[in-house]
Amino acid sequence: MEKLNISWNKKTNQRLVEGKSLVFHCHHYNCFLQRTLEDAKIVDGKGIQIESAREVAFEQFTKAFEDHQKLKTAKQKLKFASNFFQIAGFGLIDFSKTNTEGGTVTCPVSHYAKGWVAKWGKRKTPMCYFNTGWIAGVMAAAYNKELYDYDVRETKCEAVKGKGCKFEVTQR
Amino acid sequence: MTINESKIIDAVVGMNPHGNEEGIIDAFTVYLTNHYADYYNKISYKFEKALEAHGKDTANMAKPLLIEAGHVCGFNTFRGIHESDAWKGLIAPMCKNKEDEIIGLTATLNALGWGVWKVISVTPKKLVIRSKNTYESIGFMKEFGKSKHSECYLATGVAASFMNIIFQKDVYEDVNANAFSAKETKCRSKEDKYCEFVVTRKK
Repeated sequence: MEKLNISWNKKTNQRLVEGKSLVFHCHHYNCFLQRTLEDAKIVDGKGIQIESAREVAFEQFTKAFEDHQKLKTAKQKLKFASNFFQIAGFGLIDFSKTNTEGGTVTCPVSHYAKGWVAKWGKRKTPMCYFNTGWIAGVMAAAYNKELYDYDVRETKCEAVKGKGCKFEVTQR
Repeated sequence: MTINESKIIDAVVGMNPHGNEEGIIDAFTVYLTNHYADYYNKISYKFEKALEAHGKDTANMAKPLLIEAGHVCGFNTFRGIHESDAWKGLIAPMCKNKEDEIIGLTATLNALGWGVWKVISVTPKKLVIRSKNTYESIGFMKEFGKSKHSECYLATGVAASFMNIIFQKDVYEDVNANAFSAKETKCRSKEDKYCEFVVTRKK
């Protein structure tokens, strides 16, 4: 099975995937940093986080899909991306109900929602901004679209109620 | 016995933390992610630029907020490491004193993908720690070029957390647990040769 190669550079103490640095951080930092941006109402903290995730995911997987030519179909590419999501500790993600026009993506487990509830309990509004942007970027790369071709909205979030998270994807 | 930093780094790297069957990395009493340095840099510096653009009153607000986020990160993650079985088994036997424990924590930091870090000097009152390749300075320079001020906010907060974990009494009971603070005295984003953090007690 095709997998992204995460390598350790002993000289620079960097962990690299597709030439980009990966760094270990905990749910305390991820959630506190998210909340810091969110609480500053004079800036679009939510938008900053979603669009940044879109950009990094699109860049990573556009390159990855070029490097892994055995991945022919969008289904194979999305499965490849979802494996990375799991290995990196972001949770579980299922793209099986999507097509080139969009669809529904589910996260039976989300690091961000799980971390938020562990720190502060439930909240009033969906909060998986990283996942939202990441989905938009990965979908665009997998379906050979442009960076901003998909809108993604989190319609169900474990940090608000129940178990698991759900995202609706539509084409712009 | 002195701290064998290479052995510690190799051991932590060798643990190869990765998502379990639920995609969760449950380690050192925290949930970890092997996350994109670019993501953290984009959101932190876009946030800083947005506050600067908003006006004079908010221009300098990002720095203390992002440093505190770093302190929360360091205090929780490295406290978890310090209290772990892995620490007790591998690193604690190498430590003769609290200063050695700071060096031990720095060795574990070197395994997290944050670059190469070195303790220059440490006493119960002051820590000086350096890195030649923080991911923050690399990211800032790549996106924005040279800065007029230091930009490694996460690292500044983490440096302070090391001293608070090791040298602050009664970390759990003391409401003033946040007794050390850090300043980044040199930064590669200002075109200094390395990034340097000096940690002392707040006055």
